[in-house]
Amino acid sequence: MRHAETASRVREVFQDVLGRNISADEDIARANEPKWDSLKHIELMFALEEKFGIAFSEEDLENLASLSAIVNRIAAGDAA
Amino acid sequence: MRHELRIEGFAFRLRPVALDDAQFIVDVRTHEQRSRYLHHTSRDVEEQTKWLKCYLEREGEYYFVIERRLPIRKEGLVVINNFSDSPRSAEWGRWVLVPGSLAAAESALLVYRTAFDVLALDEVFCRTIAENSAVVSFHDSSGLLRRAVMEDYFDLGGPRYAAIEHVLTRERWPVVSETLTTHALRVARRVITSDHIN
Repeated sequence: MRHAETASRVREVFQDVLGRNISADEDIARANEPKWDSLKHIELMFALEEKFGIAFSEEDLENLASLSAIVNRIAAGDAA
Repeated sequence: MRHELRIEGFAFRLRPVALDDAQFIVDVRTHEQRSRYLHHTSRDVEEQTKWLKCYLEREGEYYFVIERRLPIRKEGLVVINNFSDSPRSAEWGRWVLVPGSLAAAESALLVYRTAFDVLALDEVFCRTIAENSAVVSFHDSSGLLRRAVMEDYFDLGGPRYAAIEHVLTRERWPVVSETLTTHALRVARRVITSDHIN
């Protein structure tokens, strides 16, 4: 899957869970996004797993903390 | 105060703080990613140990370590204190987790279970620095209701911060329990699976 397509699909999930529009050139970091709390984080990560048919490692669940990092992880195919 | 409450969850538990936890308390409360919205904590472990000895001798406060069950690993801290009789209520706070911890949902769930199912309270509340948007959002997402905004409430040694007070009543506890249990179970299934593999 092309990187741009992955980014678009990840952004869709973010928009659904965080409840706001996210522009194509906007990166979001957990540290700076008010609504990206611990519950939303779980919702995000499991929604992404469902959308992409993948399973993040526990380390990924703990450490992936920005939209771009998540896109890169999924695009690289490192998530199982 | 000295207590024996141990509340077991799916992947995490609450257990009483002990003197041996002094180093962990210093480490997590002074971590640069965690200390911003906390009252100052000395990095001196002996001072922390002295503080714990005083805590153990006073009444009216349940201080817990949030601990992963398998492998046993300390994940954070939380306290229930400030008890009142009418209504039967208490405050929970001093909630801090190590960076990256997945224990947020379950630790909150276990606090509420302690409050309502063990201590038989009618309501429990928490006060969060308004600027601490992630924690404020967590309480909103959990289903707690905002009860008050308290201006200039927190004094951390610099400018004073406003606080947002959230409340959970016994009537609303089943709704919040369902939300937090769903999230806690999802995490637990992943955490327990990875433990099994490792």
